[in-house]
Amino acid sequence: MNNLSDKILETLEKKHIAPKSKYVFLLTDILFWVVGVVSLVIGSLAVAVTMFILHGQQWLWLRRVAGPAKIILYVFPYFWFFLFILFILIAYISLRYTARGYKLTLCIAGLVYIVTTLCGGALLYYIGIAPKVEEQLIIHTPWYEHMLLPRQHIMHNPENGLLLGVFETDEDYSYIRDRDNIVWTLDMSEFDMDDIDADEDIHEGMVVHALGKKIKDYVFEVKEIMIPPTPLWRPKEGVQEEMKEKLHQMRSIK
Amino acid sequence: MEKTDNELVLDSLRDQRHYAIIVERYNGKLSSYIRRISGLKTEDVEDVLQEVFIKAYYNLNSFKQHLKFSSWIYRIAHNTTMSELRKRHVRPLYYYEENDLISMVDAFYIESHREQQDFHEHVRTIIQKMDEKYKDVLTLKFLEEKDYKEISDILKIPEGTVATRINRAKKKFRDLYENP
Repeated sequence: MNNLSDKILETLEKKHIAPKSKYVFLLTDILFWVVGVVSLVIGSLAVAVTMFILHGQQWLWLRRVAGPAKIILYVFPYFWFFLFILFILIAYISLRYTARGYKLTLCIAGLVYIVTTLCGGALLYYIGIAPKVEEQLIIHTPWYEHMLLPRQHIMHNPENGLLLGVFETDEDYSYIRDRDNIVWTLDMSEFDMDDIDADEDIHEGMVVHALGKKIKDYVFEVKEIMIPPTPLWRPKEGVQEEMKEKLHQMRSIK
Repeated sequence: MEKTDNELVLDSLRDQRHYAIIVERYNGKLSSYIRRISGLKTEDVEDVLQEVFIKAYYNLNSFKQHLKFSSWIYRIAHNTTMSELRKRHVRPLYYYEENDLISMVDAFYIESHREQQDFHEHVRTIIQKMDEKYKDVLTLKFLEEKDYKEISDILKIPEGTVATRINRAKKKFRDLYENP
């Protein structure tokens, strides 16, 4: 034995150094794999919701209020896009920490992740998970609802024939209450009920999107009406009946 | 018959005393490697070396059979040396003996002028001008005589990257050597 090996053994003994358990290493490796896989799933979900949002837009309707660039600027799901990028990075970093992760180059690992996430996203979109995820986020997280403001903004433009809001009715009229709590009376004389798909059961409290024409202040002639793929905001509980009655009376006088 | 590294690892996990054989086997190689990549003085090299062997023992269970033990322990030596230099707030000062310089020049198939008085100094200056990432691969390839896979395992970079770095380092060396 040479001096160094003596010293090493002495130090090991004196400091009671023993090899760390193999399970610690095993668990660490498993942890990085789990983080990598979870990141891929979240990344796929981000892709699915992005596809859903972009595909779910009424592009022809929106073209009435803005050009394609402006529409994309307003409806693009930045949150999901950044989430996608973030989780691709997390997945890549976790892979690097696994035992053999360093063998893949950034290009190959990145390409594999992006292709996997896009395929996973398409699958999740196809099986219909995306609207459920977005709807749950809208209902349960105020911050997510806040992020939908640009989308709501471009979808609601009464001057150019687009109205977005909560559908309400009474014995005589139907109304749409917009995000600013303004109640619009709907003139349905030009509207053909047959235009509504059988599965689109519009009822009170639902967020709806209407295409038509503003006739005068707070009166909107509806040509088409549809239910957005997700509600876009949490419908408020209860209808302010009194306010609606007052508005109705005012408009009848006019 | 001499035991393999992998057998010695298993023996060391059972009985600490077997670890002395691993220390003896790698003492010289790692000592010169640490000196080459750090430029530390002999006493400091010995301190780093001790830390390397203690770390290696503590992490012995993380050694995977798909790796060569030498790659694994070289990786620990590399990382420990770099972190020691960071602690001291100094950049790695790669140190090469005259023989090392000749080995590198020979490996690059460059017509050397060893008889020139300032030959060694000239080569040393060129190497010092190169990026650390190139010096790392050159040291491992031409002085430690590791193959691409081993270098990839030691530095934790893909084999393709090792090849690219070696080629670029050679080209850069030639350019600087021929057009100082």
